Amino acid sequence: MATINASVTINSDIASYPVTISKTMTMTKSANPSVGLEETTGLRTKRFTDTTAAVIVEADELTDDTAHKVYIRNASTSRSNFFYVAYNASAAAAGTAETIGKLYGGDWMLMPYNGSTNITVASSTTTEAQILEYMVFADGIEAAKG
Amino acid sequence: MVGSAHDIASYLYVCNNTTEDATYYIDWGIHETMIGRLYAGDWMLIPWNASDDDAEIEIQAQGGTNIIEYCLFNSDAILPTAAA
Repeated sequence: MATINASVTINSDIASYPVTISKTMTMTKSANPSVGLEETTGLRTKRFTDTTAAVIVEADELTDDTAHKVYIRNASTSRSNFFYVAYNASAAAAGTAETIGKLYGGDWMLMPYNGSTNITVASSTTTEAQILEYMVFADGIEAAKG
Repeated sequence: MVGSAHDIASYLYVCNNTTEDATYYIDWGIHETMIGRLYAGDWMLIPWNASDDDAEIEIQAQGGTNIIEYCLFNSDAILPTAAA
């Protein structure tokens, strides 16, 4: 059985009582929580030079309504630029339904994903290339289509 | 969780601290669109831009009682105006 562990540590001193969060999870299958996830899409890297929206996770490649996890990291260094990340077939912008958030240079995210709609991103800039890393830890990959 | 300022750089951490049954989960989503299942013991960290008035984060427990821990690191918050 494969084992995929993920850990997060968050420290904050913005309040009188500092926030300290430290959690580790083992990614397991929805149908059998004692069995770890055994598939991934592989870690991909893409360089973006314009603001055209692009699909980075295609929902039809993944089994619906299971325990996928999507990891995305903006590998760029600029804190001025970002990617919109959306749960949408083809769009990602400020008011797109449903844009999740803005992933700035150096930021990453890890979220559970049900594989029902694409994950789409759009860079905020045309003046500077941005690098995006992404990967799906999959609870079921559908046979390749095409 | 309802956003007030829009298109901002906030971060949301959510953890499902349920230990009773590993098959329990919460559906999480934005407005009425469910995006994923956060199973017992799982955590998530996402950026959240509160893109408009309908961009609130929603969760719904599935299977039984789920215990949820969450923290929003907010770049801008607009507090409700006090009633006169």
